[in-house]
Amino acid sequence: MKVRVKAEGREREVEVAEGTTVGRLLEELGYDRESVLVRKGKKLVVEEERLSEGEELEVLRVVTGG
Amino acid sequence: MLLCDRCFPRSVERRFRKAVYEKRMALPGEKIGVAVSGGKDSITLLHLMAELGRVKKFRVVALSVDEGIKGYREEALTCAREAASSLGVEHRVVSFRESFGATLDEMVRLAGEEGTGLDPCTYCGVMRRYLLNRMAREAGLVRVATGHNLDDEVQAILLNYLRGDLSRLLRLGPAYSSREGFVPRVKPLREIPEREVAAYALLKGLRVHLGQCPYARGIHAEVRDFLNRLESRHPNCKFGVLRTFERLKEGLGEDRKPEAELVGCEVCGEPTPGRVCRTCELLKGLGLR
Repeated sequence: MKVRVKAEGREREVEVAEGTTVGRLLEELGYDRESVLVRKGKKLVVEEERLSEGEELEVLRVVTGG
Repeated sequence: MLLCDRCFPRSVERRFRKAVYEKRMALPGEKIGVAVSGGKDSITLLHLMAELGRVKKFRVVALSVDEGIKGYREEALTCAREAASSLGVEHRVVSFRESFGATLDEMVRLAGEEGTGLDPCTYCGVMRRYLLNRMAREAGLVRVATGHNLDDEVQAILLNYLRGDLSRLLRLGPAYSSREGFVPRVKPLREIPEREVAAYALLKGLRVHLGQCPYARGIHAEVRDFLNRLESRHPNCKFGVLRTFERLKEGLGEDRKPEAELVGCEVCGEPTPGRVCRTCELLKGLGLR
């Protein structure tokens, strides 16, 4: 199935397996879970949430220190 | 991480209040400063402090320093101004340019020309603390709260450990003690992970600046990324570092050397353990004093 991911000013379509979780998607995209938050619409979602076909997600980099 | 829209913000507020009460960070009738850069941590802290201040009857004053970092600080300061204004909080701003005659960007250029070998964070960190302290003292504040979160604290522990700087390592803690001429600083968000502070700001709809400082690089960023990778695979290791450090600090407490007596800097009059304060030394090295 496909989901749309918006991150760092870019939007792309990503092919994922059925039952993929938000956390798994982050790993596949190379994100460190501790450095980002994921938003679906206006709601923040947890890593355990399973994705559905056609969903739109926004990955926000929230770690700014350093 | 729990993200129920109602329970999660309450959990952050509860941990914030616990830190404030336990360490007596703000008491009724007091005037407390909040250092506000405009980022998620300081804006969240300003909201939490202002709200608690209304209930517990202490006054909050927002303090900002404009270092002069083109393309980065302007938007952050706009967020700080908006937050202070919406909360009805007095907001004081000072800049590197008006205080030292140059912006941080100009200092970085001068440091390259003079070959000082010092990185931008050295100038920024030392001079920002200098101005915050001076502003706080002039405003008659009893304490200054900063937005340091769990990640900041654990990174500082590890960095000081790696550098072998035991003196700085042992000074870390939820509150810095009072010394003549220095306004004590407190860290009410010290036990809240950075990601949870960010989630709080987003859930509360606070306007915050999420940009990355263009000068942030080097070992500090590497330690941050290392800790985040570790935490992703082994949850709670950040708390583990903090708790172990606290136990070590307790054990080492009695062996600590007494801190040097403070005198007025020969150049600017600000408190310093030496003849000339670090800010004046750095400015001299850049030909600005």
